[in-house]
Parts: sequence; structure tokens; C-alpha cells
Amino acid sequence: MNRRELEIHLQDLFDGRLESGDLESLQQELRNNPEAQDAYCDYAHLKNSLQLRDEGVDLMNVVPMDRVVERRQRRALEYAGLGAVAALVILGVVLAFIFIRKPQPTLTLVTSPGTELSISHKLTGEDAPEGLTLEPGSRLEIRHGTVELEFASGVRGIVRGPANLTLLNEGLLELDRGTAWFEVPSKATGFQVNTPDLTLIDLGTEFGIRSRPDFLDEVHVFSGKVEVRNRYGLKKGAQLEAGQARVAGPGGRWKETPLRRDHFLTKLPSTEPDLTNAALIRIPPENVTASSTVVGLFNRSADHLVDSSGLDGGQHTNAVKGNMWLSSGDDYGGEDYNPSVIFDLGAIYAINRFHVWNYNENPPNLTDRGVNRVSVKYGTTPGLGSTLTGITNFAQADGISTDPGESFDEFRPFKARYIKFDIISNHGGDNNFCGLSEVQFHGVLVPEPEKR
Amino acid sequence: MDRDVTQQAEFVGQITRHQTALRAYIISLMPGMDGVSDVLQETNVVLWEKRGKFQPGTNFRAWACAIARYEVKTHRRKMLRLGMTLLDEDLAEQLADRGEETPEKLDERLRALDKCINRLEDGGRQLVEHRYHSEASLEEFATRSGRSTESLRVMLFRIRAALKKCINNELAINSTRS
Repeated sequence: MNRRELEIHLQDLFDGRLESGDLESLQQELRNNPEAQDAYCDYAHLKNSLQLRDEGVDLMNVVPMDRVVERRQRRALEYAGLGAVAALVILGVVLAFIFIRKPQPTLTLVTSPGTELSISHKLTGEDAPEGLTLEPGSRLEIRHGTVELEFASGVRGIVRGPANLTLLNEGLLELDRGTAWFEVPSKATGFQVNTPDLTLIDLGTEFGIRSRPDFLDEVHVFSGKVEVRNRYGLKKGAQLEAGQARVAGPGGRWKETPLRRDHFLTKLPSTEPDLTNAALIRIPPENVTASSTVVGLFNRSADHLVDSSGLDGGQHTNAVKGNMWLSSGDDYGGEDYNPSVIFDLGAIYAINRFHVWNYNENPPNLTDRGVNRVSVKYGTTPGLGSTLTGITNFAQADGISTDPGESFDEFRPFKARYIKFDIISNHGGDNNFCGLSEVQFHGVLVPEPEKR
Repeated sequence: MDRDVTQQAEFVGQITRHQTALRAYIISLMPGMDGVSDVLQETNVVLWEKRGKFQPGTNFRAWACAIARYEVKTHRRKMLRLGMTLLDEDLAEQLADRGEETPEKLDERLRALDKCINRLEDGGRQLVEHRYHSEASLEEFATRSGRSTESLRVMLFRIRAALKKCINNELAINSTRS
């Protein structure tokens, strides 16, 4: 085995991805070659050092001395006298200074009403943080809504979704996406935020930071100073003062941009959007995507679902051509046994009502091609992520020329930009066709900081 | 009672001082296996529970390593039941003993690693931080960085080989100074 092969096999071994055939030859080498043995030891130490370097003080958290002490105390209570318990209690106090993690979480979250989020932790089992708290390695995804971050260090932040962030340690946050405002007390100076485009180190200040997938990341400084560094290209650094705002330019330079305090929230919004002014949401036909459309000259495209075709005074015609959508079913433009329709509202809305006019072709009466069992999914991103509960079926249309449709409003208002009808069955119609005539959503625009 | 508490605090100090070394020893005994932190945790619990049997003045490291070895054996049995292919146990123990280092030497390694990582290009440093901090997959980093997984794997191989070499050079320089 040459030196390179040896190194590759050793690295694969420590990564847990060495093939069994290679393992045999590596073992042979390790038994006979002292240099290979030294390399093995070096890689073991390298792995240990790299993990320790990043886990840092977390090393102490893997030593469950608090649990050990508790266990000993329980045993002592069962088998020994009070004196022994006293000794262990004293020891417990000693250990508390050395081992036990601070009871205060590194980061506590408070959410605004209607916020949807998910949290995942690096720590598992009994060590996993509970409730709305983050510890180093924890990741927070805010699908929509606003979250206040309260660091044990005193740093306070408000993050507007959609956002993804990872707490690397008390003083270091990785913001992959989102609009965030931070207020850093002097005792926490040095607090750092990394985004895909930039690194920011606080020098005692109040600042905002925006990271969006399709735009360059921005920094806005409202008071004090920050130090920023571009992560790509020329990797230019800069010190920004109160009143300055910069965009991390693509070449690694900083570009000036107007300071926008209105992009950032400094406290949680206290209420849900006011839905008393909910209105029909106009959806451009190009924002509707169906899994399939019957081919030929039938003119039953998904455009008809939102273009008001065949709709007059809230009543839908039974004339099918140019007024309704129909899937391709068994083989009328390809097989489609999982039909669906996705509506992109173009922005995030709080929705409190929607109206469905089911497939209403008559004569001949083919209303049984209309959607029956359905799952309504929604989200603020194309990934959706939520399902509207309580709505499982659309009623079959009457086939009359003045179909009133069916209104759905007995659900808790939800925020969404994307809504999908996952169609499970029709009303017994032929060829597995599934169709709808028209769909309307009602709601109010949820103000996004970017759009103010 | 005061003397007991003092002795126990000293024992705690020993466990603390040897955490890095114990962790390295466990990694050597079970290369590429998940659960290093769990085994270390179990080792610590057993060390604590058996502290009465430890004779002050004797070799704490040897005693702790013997317990760690036993805990790794237990863990290996679980992994073998799951059908994992593992490095031969005797060979792993022989290699782990060969690689045993003092806590001071391991601290020196950590300092050397810091220096060596700072010499990496930004891209390399980010890759290492991603790999060892987030423990996320290379695929995830590939998506984020717009590079292929295979090219990142090659890059990571080169970085680790370079870090190993750099650390050994640093340690050699330090030993000539002292």
C-alpha cells in the first residue's frame, strides 16, 4: 500500500466510510508498518482536536456529573444515613461550579402570534434543550412569523421569517436566511453573525442584517459600530458606523445602500393581521400550476381556475369549454394518477376563506369528474409544509348553469403564498379524470419588511 | 467529611484534566464509529462510581483508559449486532495505546491545530468548520457552495492530510525549542 492509499484509507476509516475489502488491507498494513501506525494515531488525534476545537466548552456538557450526583443522592437516600446525603449535597455544590451547565438557556425564543417554526438540536436525549430554547448546535427554521431572540449574554434580536439560523455558540450565530435586527449590550461586544455572503462582528451596537436567497446580503447600522467582512471575491473588510448601510457586493466589495430602519422590527408584532378587510386575491393565470391538463382541443387548461371564465355574479356555468380545468387522467396527455393544482398567490397572505366551484360539465353530465377527496396544503415557500385540517372533500357540482360553488371559511386563518390541492379522488368519474371550474381565495396581504 | 470532599474534588479535577486524552483514546479504539461522546460519558459515570477504588498517587490515566476500553467493548458489541464492520479489536487497542498522549501534549496539539487552520484558505477553513462543527453532510455543503460533493471530498482529504503534516511540524518545532 503506498502512502497516498494509506492516507485515503485512514481518513475513510475515521469517517466511517471504509469498505470492508479496504479495511482488510488497511489492517494488514497497520499490523506490519510502524509508519502506518503513527499515521493512524495522528489521524485519531486530528479528529479529536478538530471536534474539540469546534465543540469547545461543550466538552464539559458530555460529562453528566449533575446526573451522577443526583443518582448518588438517590442511592444514598435509599441505602445510607443522613450524614452521607449531607456529604453528597456538599459535593454537589462543589461540582456545580466545575461541571453543571448554567441553568439559563443560551438562547430563549419568544414568538409572535401565528408564527410557524421548527427547531432541531445537536444535543440529543436528556441533554437536548427543552421548549423554545436553543443551545450551541441548535437550528431554528421560521417558516413565517416573527421570533424574538434573547441570549443569555444580553443580546436581543428580532428575526422575521422565512428564516433559517443556527446557534454556533453564545456569541456566534449563523443566519442562512432572514431579516434580523440585533441590540448588543456592551458586555456582549464581539457578538458575531455570519450570513452566506458576510461576517459581521459587533463592536457594541444596534444593527440589522438581511439575507435573502436571491439578493445580496445587507448590513444596516443604527448605532455604534460593526466590523464586516465579505466572504467571497476580494473579501473586503470594513468598519461601519451608525447611519451607514452596505450591500455585500458580488466581487467581494461593499456597496453603499440607503439606511432602512423600516426593514427591521425591533419588537414582536402583538397581533394577527386584521382580517376584517379580507378581499379576493387576484391570481394571475400563469401562477397556477396543474400536474396535468387533458390534451387536444378541449381547452381545459388550469388558467380557467383563476381567470373568472364561466363565472357570473358568483355563479358558474356548466358549459365546459374554455371555462374549466381537467387533468389528463388515464392517458389523455400522459397518465396522471396523482393530480394536483398549486396556486402561487404572489405574496404572503393571511387567508380566512376560499371558494371552490367544482367541475360542472353538463350535458352530458360529467360532474362526477369533479374533485372529491382532497388535501389542502400550504406554506410561505414552495416547499409548503402545512396542511389545512378539517377540509377533506369538495362537494360534487350540481351541473346547473348557475352553480353557486362551495365556500370554506370554518378554519383558523393561515398565512401562505403557495396553496396546493392534492387530489386523492374524483366523484366516481371516468378515466381517472379530475377537474375543477374556479377557485378563489380571500385574505389580506401580510406586510413583509421588504415590501414596505 | 472535609477531607472526603477535598478528595472528591481532587478526583473531579483528575477526570476534568484527562477528558481530552480519554476522548482521543476512545476515538482510537473505535475509529469511524458513532457514539464517542456517549462512551466518554459512560466512562465518566463509571469512573465516578468507582472512585473509591482509585488509589491516589497511582496512574489515573491508565486506570481511566482501562475503564474506557471496557466501555468501548460494550459499545462495539452493540455495533457488531447492527452488522457494522469494525477494525479488529486487538489491533485497535494496540494502536490506541501507541497513540496515548499526556493532557499537556494534547493541549499542545490543539494550539498547533489552531495555527494550522489559520493558515488555510477561507474556502478550506469553511469546509473544515462545516464538517466538524455542524456535523452536516458534505452534500449539504456542496449545495450551499455550488461545488460537487466529490470535489469537496477530495478537498477535505487534502486539507486533513495538510493539517496532520502541519501539526507534526509544529510539534517538532516546539520540541526543539523546549
